[in-house]
Amino acid sequence: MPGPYLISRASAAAATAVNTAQAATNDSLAVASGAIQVPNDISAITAVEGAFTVSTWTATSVGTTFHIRLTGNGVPITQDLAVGGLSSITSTTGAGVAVLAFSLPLAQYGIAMPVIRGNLINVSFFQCGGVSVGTWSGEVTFTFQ
Amino acid sequence: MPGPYYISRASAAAATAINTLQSAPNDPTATSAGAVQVPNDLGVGVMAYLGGGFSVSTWTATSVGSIFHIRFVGNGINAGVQDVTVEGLSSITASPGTMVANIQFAMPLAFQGRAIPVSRGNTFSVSFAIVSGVAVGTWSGDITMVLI
Repeated sequence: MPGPYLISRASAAAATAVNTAQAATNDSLAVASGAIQVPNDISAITAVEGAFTVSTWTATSVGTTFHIRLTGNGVPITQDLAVGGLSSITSTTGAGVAVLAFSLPLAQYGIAMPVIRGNLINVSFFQCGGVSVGTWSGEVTFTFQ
Repeated sequence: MPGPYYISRASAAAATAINTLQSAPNDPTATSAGAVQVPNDLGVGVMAYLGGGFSVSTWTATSVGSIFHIRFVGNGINAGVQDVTVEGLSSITASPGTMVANIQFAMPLAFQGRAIPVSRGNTFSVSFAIVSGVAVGTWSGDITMVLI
């Protein structure tokens, strides 16, 4: 059993609107890898970690919450994970810095997410409600065991 | 048994006043999903995890601050009502060039020995509030509840 498998997906930075899916299909080199194929020798996602970033702030006074959605036949049902909120008063250079990173040891918390061997999981990100912060992207690592 | 079930609810951004409930019936696409129905699955008995975030999308005034809060109500919650305090946020200014803030939280309730009992097949509503202080402006939240 060669696992655990740490598999990542990233989105390309885009000004994706609020409540609209931003597909996360890339690897860390921006190579399109598509959906995650669940390894054939595991049964759960045991940790989820990563970060979101805003690369161009479009306006003053914006804010939203970032969200991960997993769909496809690799998960028994659609699984939704709210990550955190980000708010900004400013788009002025040199004014504000924020970090939106997260690390969730699901298995340790007793909430490992079941997956279906050999099947596919689509990963997408959302800004959920509020006012779009601008051009944004995310990268998430899933640990399969 | 397909669980754990990762279920989310979000609110639409609004200038909801202090100490007034802002309902959170939406999924991430802003589709109204209403109250959470506890899965009718024999393996489900508790809310094991609660996490997510809040944001302020329009700051209305200088010198504001409040505390973000979650309330669960309904027969899907064994106790009927559960109240959770999340985070405080304060700002001296609404002027450009001053501030970026994030509110995120992760509460592994089961891991901490305080999982919230839920009732299979029943429902509970999710709402948010800013508690005391001065309203920060237009705000919203998005949370995930893991039911096992």
